[in-house]
Amino acid sequence: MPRIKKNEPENIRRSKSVWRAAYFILILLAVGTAWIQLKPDARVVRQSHKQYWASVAVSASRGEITDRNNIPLAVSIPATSFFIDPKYWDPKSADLLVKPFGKNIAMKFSKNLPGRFHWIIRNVPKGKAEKLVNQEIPGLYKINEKIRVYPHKELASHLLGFCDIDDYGQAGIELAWNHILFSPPRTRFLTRDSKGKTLDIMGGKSGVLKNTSGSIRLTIDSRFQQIMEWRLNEAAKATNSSWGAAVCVDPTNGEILALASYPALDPNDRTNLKDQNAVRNNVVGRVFEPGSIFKPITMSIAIETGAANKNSSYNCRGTMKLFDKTMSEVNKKAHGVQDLTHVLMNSCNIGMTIMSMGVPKHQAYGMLKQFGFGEKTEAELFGEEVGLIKSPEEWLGTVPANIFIGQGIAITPLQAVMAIASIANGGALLKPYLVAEVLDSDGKVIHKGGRRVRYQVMSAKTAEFMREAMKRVVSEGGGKQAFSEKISIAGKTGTAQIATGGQYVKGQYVASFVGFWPAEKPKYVMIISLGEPKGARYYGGQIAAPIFKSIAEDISQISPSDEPIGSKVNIEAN
Amino acid sequence: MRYTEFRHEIERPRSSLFVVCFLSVFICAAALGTLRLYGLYLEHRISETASRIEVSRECNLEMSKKYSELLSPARIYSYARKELGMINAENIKTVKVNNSDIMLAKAVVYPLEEKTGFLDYLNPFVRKAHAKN
Repeated sequence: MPRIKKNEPENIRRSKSVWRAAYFILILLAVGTAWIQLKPDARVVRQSHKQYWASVAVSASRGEITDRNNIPLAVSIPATSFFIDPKYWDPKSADLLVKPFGKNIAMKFSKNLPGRFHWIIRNVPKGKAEKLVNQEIPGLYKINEKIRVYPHKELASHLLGFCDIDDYGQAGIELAWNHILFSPPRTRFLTRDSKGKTLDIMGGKSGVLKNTSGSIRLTIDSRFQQIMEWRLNEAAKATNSSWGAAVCVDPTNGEILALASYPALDPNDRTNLKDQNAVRNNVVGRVFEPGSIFKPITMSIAIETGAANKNSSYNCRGTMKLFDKTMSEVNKKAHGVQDLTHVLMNSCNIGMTIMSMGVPKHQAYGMLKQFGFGEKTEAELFGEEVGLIKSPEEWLGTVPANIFIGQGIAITPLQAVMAIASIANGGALLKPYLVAEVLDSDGKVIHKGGRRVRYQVMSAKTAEFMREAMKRVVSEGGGKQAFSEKISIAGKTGTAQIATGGQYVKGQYVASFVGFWPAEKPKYVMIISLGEPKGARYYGGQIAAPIFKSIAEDISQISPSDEPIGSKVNIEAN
Repeated sequence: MRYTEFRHEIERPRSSLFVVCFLSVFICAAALGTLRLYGLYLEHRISETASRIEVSRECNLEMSKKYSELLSPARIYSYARKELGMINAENIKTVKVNNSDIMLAKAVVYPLEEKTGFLDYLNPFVRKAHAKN
């Protein structure tokens, strides 16, 4: 039987329109919800981001510094830092921090703290950090960072410098080349679970962070550096010196091969950085009156200005009255009539004083400036001092004579060694450099260090004469303790008094020896300075010359080009 | 009245079209869903690979530290002296040779007719190129 549909009454029809209205409202609500979801309020978005997402800074690896033979001198290794989010942190958990971090740190976090972020400790080694990470303490979080490490500890620490806790260079090469070595930290987005624990569910979107830091290859030879540091430390300790400096350069191109400063410093232990005396790089950051090691330079100025020549002779009677002062020799010993070579061999102050009288002061000042005194050497190191050199207007009375014997002028060991390098290489003052190559993150060379002549400070003939004279200083003169049977060394000793408050203090000296080898065709120029040695022996010829000789002999075991040691013969062309 | 009676017969083709459309949409949605899931799976794998790269990189950094510690001159010197008993050579001598003598020596060492071609350096026994001298 077919079903007969009844006509719907009017009131039911009306109820249908009610349903339609209800549907319409629901649609409106759905559209509204969709609209809120798709176009949310900025404040809501911020709040939700805070709640569910954590942006964690991930430090990138700092660029490597290697020596000329690609031995790494400074590397960055993974480390872990810990922080606390007080929102999720239970102060009762502070007891768990006692064992790994100590009582003081645990005490600090045993009470309610304001804010959302508090560091506990930075850069904990991975092994130590893993124990704590495994405990999963609520509110305690970790961040992976990189810590700068110097694997050879004290080796080359003064030239490498060091970094702060955020891996930013603070001294030495680390600071000078920070723009290449430093890679800024990146942000990695992590999700938080209900307990605030971070989870990396972003996958490939947070991705592998590309390292943008470059690397640096130095001109330093770590073997030379090690030898130099050992010998300098030994000597400084034996003579009880307050400070020491040594630097060895290649006179043909200005490469710094080794650079050492005493007291030594291990930058891996940050508590060592409190000692300002140890942090200072004495090679560039310490100025001192050079004493007699300055004589080869002033003598070459006298020759170049025509005030002296090979036939000049000087009569030394032990003392000499000059203006209101008396110039004298050590122990007032008279050297008699001497030529230029003997003035240098005897380190004769009177001879140099007489010589200074014939040199026009403006010309002498100009040439000293050309030698690089009173200016930075432009080596890639921060904290370099310019030294002190009086202007020609102040060259009155005994000032020129004092400058000619190496007093009344203050220089850095690096300035001295570069000036002597100009004698060794035939008269060219070179710019010293430490960086052989700079590579970008893809290994492409973006900078190369090289020979750069600053001035031609003397003629090749004058340089040759000075080399011969300095060779005789070692073989027959005051530098005999630097004489070696194995290699021919040329050099000059120096013992300078130290001025404090405008007066020279008795018993305080700087003992130095500057020289080069092989004397006939120099390959290395080096200076050794020992500041304020205490004891009976304080002359440069007594304490600095023997170190110079031992370093030179040790280096000769290595160079040239790593030949097998045993029956080694160095062949030199005349 | 007739229209009301046979309405279900008239609507049949429409409903089948609706089912086809619904199925198409469903299949498309399912396909998109599957693709999204596959995308998530790939992302997960990328994440895993990225973390493996990170771990390898960290391992590499640790090893580079160990490597440089092994190359430390202080370690090598002390090992050579203490363990191997090595001392500095005392029989180093400097021989001074005139430039003219060096030129003469060079002239004697190198023959006038230099071998230049690859075949000249081919060792007939091992059939490989060998170094001069």
